[in-house]
Amino acid sequence: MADISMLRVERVRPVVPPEGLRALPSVELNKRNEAMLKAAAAGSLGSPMWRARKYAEAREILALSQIADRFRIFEIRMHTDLLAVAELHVPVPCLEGPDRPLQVAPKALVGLKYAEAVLSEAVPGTAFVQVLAPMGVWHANVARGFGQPVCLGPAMPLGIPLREIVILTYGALSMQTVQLDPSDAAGVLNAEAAQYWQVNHDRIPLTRAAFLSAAEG
Amino acid sequence: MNNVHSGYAREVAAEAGWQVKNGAHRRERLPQLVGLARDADAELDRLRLAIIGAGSVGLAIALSAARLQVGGLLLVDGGRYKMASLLTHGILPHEAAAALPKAAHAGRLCKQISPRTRVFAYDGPIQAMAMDALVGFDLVVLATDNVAAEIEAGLRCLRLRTPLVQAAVHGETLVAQVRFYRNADAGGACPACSLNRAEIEMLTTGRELKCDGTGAAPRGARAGAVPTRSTSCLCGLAADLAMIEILKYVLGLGPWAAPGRTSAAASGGAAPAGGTACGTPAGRGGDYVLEYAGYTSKAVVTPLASRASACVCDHAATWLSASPPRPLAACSLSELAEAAGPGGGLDRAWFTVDGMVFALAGVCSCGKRRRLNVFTAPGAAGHERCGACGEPFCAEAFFWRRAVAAEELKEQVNRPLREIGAAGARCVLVAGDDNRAVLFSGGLAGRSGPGAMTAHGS
Repeated sequence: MADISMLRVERVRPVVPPEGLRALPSVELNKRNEAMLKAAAAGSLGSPMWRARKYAEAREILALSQIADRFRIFEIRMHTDLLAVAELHVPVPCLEGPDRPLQVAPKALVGLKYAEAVLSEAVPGTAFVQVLAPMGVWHANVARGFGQPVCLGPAMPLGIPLREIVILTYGALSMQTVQLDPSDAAGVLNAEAAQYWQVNHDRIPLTRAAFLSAAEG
Repeated sequence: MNNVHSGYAREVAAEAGWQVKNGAHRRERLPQLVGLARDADAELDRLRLAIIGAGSVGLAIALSAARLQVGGLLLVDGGRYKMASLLTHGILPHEAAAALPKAAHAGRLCKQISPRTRVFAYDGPIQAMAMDALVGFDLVVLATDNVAAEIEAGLRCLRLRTPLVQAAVHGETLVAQVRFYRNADAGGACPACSLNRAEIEMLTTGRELKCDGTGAAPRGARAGAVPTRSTSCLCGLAADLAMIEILKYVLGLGPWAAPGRTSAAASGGAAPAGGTACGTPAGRGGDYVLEYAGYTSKAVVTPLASRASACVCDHAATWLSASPPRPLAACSLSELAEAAGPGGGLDRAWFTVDGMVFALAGVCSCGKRRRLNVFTAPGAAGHERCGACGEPFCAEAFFWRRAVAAEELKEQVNRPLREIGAAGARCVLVAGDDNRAVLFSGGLAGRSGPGAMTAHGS
């Protein structure tokens, strides 16, 4: 019998293709993701055009989760809107109370929502992502309460792919891209946090790591 | 009173002192039109026009329609006059100075000109109107420079299969243009089919083409970096060209003269044959563009191409209008689905309650989540409160659905709407797998909206 103490468990990190994100269409989904996509597609409703679009977007973010170490999808639904619950390895600033120190959580559980309106309207940047956990996010572009929606900009380009939303979210939460001017309504959802980060701008960004780089830990 | 939040237009009342009975009748001026095979009076009495945009072109169309004493008019515009409006709109200086709301003011003028016309005005964008706001209209006129409104109006008309006439100008080249989208089927074009890259970009950045030339502004502020500049005469020309095309369609004149066709308003009209004797080389389904070029003094009629493959709008969906079997609040969604008979049955049905969302879960101030399973206004506070912080659970975006599948509704699908938070539902859309949806109207639509002109005469 093998000595169990001799076994070393190593985390298998995904291999980023040399072409980067351009390789997404050619990424073959693994069995878990293939099954998740199939199950979601079975319940997909809407016009044939919208169903096809949801399928393509879902497949792409599943493929993204296979090449990105810091992005993992737990659940996908496609009944009406395309919904995904995903884990994003990104530093998330949190403040549990005014007298508590700033904490930086290593990852966030995010809810992604991709509605049909995105095909024909310039949807506001707050409509796509919500930080489900941790609570108490202390970020200029994340609302305090109300489900912690993340503002990615005043309006997103028509038909923006969901993979772009994921990458924008990483940039926003890590503060690689951040809007801190409380007098500019475009983006600031927490004015107090905006002021805090203006004072503590030396801590920005929370990481300089690229989205496709290996996640810490 | 502001009527924007209701989602429905308000009827413009006749002003005291106007002699409705003794006013002029269109018969006194309407010519005996060559080739007219219909009762023009009856057709115009029946005609209900919705005009999106009450600016320089839309106002002129509205006044022209009022002078024809059409049966009903709906005017939609969220803007107000500015002093610069005086240069292109048919208004007086004091009206411009008072910054009057365009739709309400145009509505008053129309009602004064034609007290017999039922006039409705909505001082907000078409996007904010209820889903059934255009139900019952025979024809929609699009006269706006707002790209988002163009797409929205085009989409609504496509779904309702209502003909759409778009009037536009290009000031720099003195071109007036009228596009006729018949919307008979999914194959025809829509306003979004011909949007160019700049217009899409305009939409994306939330900026709008504006006549007044004000600078860039955030989305919704109705200002833009690229002003649409024109002259009063060109706007008037576009309006008159549009009105003549509408008149031809409604009265069955020229290319619309089809044997056995009795009423454009009642039947939805027949498509003109391509390249008719009257010279309208209509495209698929009768779609065409009429363009007058001021520099060459030439008018050209060209068929509109079929649906653009890259069009952002779904052309296939069709919405039928119906009355609910009982008052809407007393109906369950499964009952409405049964009445609608959506493709795929209840399992494949999904529902949209206008102005509301179905909240699967809510969150309180301290971050606790709780299952809600009720219809509510987006972000509204629920009745239940958190035991820890005492604050109400509010519906949150990720867990609410504007369109909700029967599968997600679970047992709520069988409960009356009034028991699941939708007592005040204005209209409900029931859709299925077959691209066909049924719009059940009730509540406000019957009391104060333009729908009152059809099924719910007051």
